[in-house]
Amino acid sequence: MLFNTHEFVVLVSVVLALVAFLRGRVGQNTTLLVASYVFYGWWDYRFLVLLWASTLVDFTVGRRLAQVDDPTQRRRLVGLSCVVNLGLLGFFKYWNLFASTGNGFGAWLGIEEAILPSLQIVLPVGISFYTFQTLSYSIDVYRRTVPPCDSLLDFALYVAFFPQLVAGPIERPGNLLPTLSRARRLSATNFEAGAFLFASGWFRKSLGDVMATVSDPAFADPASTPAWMALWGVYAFSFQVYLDFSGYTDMARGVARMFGIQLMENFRAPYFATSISDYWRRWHISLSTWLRDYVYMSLGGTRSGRARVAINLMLTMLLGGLWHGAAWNYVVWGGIHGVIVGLEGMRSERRGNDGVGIGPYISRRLEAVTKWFVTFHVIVFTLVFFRAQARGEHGAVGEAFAYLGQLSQLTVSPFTPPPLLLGLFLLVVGLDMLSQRAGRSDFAFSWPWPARGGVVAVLGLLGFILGSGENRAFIYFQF
Amino acid sequence: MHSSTSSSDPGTTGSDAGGAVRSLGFAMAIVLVFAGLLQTAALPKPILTGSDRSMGQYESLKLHVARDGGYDVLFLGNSFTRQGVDVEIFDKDIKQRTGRIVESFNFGAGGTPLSVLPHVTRLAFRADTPTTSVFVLVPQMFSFRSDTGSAAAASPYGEAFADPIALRGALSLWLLDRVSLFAQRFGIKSALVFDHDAQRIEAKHQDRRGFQPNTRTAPPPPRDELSNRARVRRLARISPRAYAKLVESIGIAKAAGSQVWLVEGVANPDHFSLIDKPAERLRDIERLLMQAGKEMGANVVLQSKDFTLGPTDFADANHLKPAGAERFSHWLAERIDP
Repeated sequence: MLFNTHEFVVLVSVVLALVAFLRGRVGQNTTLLVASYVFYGWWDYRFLVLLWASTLVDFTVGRRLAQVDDPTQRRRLVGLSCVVNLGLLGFFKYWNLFASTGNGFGAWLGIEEAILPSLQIVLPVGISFYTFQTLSYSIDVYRRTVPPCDSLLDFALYVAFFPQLVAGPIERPGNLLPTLSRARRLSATNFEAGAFLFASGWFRKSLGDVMATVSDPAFADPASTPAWMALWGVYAFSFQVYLDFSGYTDMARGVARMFGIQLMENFRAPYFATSISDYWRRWHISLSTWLRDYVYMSLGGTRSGRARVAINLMLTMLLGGLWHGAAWNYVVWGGIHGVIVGLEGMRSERRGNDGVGIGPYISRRLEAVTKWFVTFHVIVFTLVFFRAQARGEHGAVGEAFAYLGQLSQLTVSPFTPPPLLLGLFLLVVGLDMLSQRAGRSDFAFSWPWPARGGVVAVLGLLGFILGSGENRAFIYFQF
Repeated sequence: MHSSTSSSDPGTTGSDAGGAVRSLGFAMAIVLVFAGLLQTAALPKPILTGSDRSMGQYESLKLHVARDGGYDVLFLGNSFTRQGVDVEIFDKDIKQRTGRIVESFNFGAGGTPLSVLPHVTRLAFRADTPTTSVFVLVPQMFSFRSDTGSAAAASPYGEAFADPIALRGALSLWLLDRVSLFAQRFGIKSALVFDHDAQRIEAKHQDRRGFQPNTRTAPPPPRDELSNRARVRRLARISPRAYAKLVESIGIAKAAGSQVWLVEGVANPDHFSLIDKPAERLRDIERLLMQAGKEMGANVVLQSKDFTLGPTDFADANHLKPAGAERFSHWLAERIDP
């Protein structure tokens, strides 16, 4: 059930009415939980079993961790949570990658027969998100940074809350559980803020679909894509993925806000970043902070020597890339970012500030613009690895290099983006700037009511118009 | 480094809530008014010289075609056509007379003057390509809405911009069209002027293929009412663009391979007689129709002496009662050979 469908509108409307009517926490959470299972089951009801398994295991682990003080037993309990959740994720998402890689390695060693079978596995929607979310609960309880949840109902809703279930943001127990553990009062203010976020997200998602009409043909056959088409294609894709994902996030946050639940911000104008490190503080914030807190810190973080820190960083970024997809091109993408972030870190140590300095001979403003320009293009061109797909005999990484090779032959572009598209793109940039200045996504919160209403209406209408027609799934649903 | 946002439920003051409600209400109002406008941006630009109520008919025809396949005969015109041509009677009579089975659709769109007719025709042909098109043309479609100079006539929006009253009326009808379309698109019952359109689509085609009998029970306004006189006064002059627009409309139908019939309709004689030289005006219109028919290869059917519509056939100044529609439809079936 996509967010921009009639079925979803009906579901939200019915649930809102029920939740408004039911004042108590149990009634509200039960309604939301049932709605969440209906929402998830709409995709494929069979995978509700996995959701329930993850919920029950981590709820039980959390309760036991509260009762156990022995460090070994505690480690075993959190280990169990990791094994179950990562096991589910590993099997459903990565089995075939491991199998093909293992068999390829075996072939290199001279073993002709495939060692590991390739399986027809359906990837459950949202598994990358909810397993991380439940893991964060177990680990936080283990670290004693959050108390365990006593209510299975509240915990089940924490895992399955439908706006953020299938594509994030990956919530933290310290943020979401306290909200779910009390009754929430629906208010006009929250509904308005939610409507703003939803309309904004709908516009972004729809515009992202428009961008896809430029990027898809470019990436269809990289080796024969003209250089100018490849260039526009990669720019378009960089905005497609951002608009698609940030759009979805805003829609999710908007719906949650209507229920009086504030989900964490997941994007903060990432294409304004002036370094790759800065980019990762603005892009998919819920994932980057998750990786920082549960992978990087667990590996030692910055507490070790320089070499060890670099390794920790690299491993974290490689895992971050792998999280996005069961293919080596994602790992390459993560690895490239890991190298750059590591270099930036080393450089900033020497300079005493964040990011890469250009030199003392140019003005600060020009330096900032240059840093932004370079960072933006590093982001854009590395996204080629993110987007490239295996085609025939060629792997995705090979296709990515073929694409970049085409770019190197760039001359003059005969293609000019339609003015309307450029105008809408500038509108998105403007919205990001307003958000950045206000420090929040619903930047219009302090505006007079006619202006707020006007913005909601315009964004909603633009989302409707641009989105009329074929309903593309959100890109991040595949992760 | 980023930290999670607080999940606390923000407090709500009375003024915040009031502002939020007003803001949402304002947003909904804007959405309702402009949704249809933006959605139809891809369609031919509506011309503001008259109302454009054809969108409801367009949506209805599309749905009918999806259900029933294409139609053989399409009736085009204004509300006189919509309320005056009973396609079931027409089809039945054609079958009785010729033995052939034809299926017709009534694409009469309220308020259509000749200046908007090409747009309406184009719209109809987007939804279907009938083998026969019948344009039913009544005097008010030829009307020139105001005394204007050549500048207004040359404007793409014609007379409306020179006539503030017509412009305001046209704009409000145009906006209401958009609201109706928006309501239809989301299946929302429309309590507005075009409620019958929304209900028609909602009723899953239990309607009469575009025909909408005039069920008005109130007596027509008296002949000497001020507004009535103002309305009929406009019938006195024929728009200088009438012929060009008629020819353009015929051209659109012929380009789609449709055989074209031009049928003379009439206004309520009791009202039409109020203008200066009504007989002369009718002759002007008939001459115009004959010329267009000859130039464009269209068949022309004029009201003949042995049949004419009288005041008792009309529910008001411009629309037939169901009994009048029945008479007219029978007469059409005698004259038209699809």
